[in-house]
Amino acid sequence: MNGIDPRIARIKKSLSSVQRIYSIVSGKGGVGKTTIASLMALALNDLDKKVGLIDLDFFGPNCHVVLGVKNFGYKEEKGIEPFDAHGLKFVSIVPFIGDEKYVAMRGHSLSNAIIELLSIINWGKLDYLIIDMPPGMGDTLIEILRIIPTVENIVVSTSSRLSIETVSKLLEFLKANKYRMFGLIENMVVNAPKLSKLTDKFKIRYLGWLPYDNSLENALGNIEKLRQTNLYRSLKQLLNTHL
Amino acid sequence: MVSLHEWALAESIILTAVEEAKKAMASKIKRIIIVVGELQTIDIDVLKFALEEIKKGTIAENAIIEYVYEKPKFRCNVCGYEWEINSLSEILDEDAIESIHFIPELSLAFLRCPKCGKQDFSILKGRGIYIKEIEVVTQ
Repeated sequence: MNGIDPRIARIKKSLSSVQRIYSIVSGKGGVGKTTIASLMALALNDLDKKVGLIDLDFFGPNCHVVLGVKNFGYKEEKGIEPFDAHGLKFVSIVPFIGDEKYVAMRGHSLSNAIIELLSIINWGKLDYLIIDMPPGMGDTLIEILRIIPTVENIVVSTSSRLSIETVSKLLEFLKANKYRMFGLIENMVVNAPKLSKLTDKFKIRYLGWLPYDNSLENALGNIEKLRQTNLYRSLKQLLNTHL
Repeated sequence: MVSLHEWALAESIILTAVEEAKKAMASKIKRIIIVVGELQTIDIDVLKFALEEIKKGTIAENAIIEYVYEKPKFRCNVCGYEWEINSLSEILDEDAIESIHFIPELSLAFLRCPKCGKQDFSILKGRGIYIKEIEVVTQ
């Protein structure tokens, strides 16, 4: 036996006490994945579940901005302990690289960085782990689908034709490769929701729709204000229905 | 008690070695050869201690662990220049070294090609830990 990557075995062990793992995905950027991932983690935590949240958007991590997590670090304890963010177990690339620092990576480096990060975290027992994914069908998505075969995808789309066209390709990919699908959330609805036809076409569950919420921008970074938004309330209701 | 993240790396190695040995229907692991990439600036004493602790009670309990050290080597994807680094502490501050210690690819945030200055390079070798070889007993 030669040249074996030892990290995958520890990722499996670290995730072995996590009941459900959801990745928040979309082919398109700007449809609200990060907001939904962060608020979903917060809402599940408010429903007295044990929740983890990991921001895997290495090039534009934002979950900490949504949740108002500042000056967060990590504690080493036979691995890395996630940061306690309002009761959530939170992991992001930000404390490893610094708040204002950037990193640009090619695919192979990105895959390696994701595997390395996942292999050193101690999640402990969780009811839910929420993964905030970057947009698109690149290395982060296909690496997570490979190393965490139990992950259930929650696809986020708006009703814009631009979003539908790209999300349709993601749905085709997930379906063609038989990856697990939890369902689709229609986000930023202004008038009436429109995407049940899309979910019918792909024979996946329409989890529900979330309103376009003008109050969100001012609530970002403030947990109490976030909990007062229509978006948070609608999402909590949606989770109550489906989880 | 070892509280450093080297414990997680050691756990990765033993979990994987035992898994691979079992796949090969082995009853014992005799030897594990580990490559230690020096970009990750692993505390080797802590790693050795953790490995000795974790292998207790497994089929790797009596395995001899050998270490092969690799200097980090890079290639610039823009100009093709290749270079090695002997000591990160001579060129980076402690925070940067710690970031790279956890995730070696974060070297892309802190290092540049010494020739053209671009932050677009590949780590050719010496990034982190992997298992080079496992010698097992099959009975």
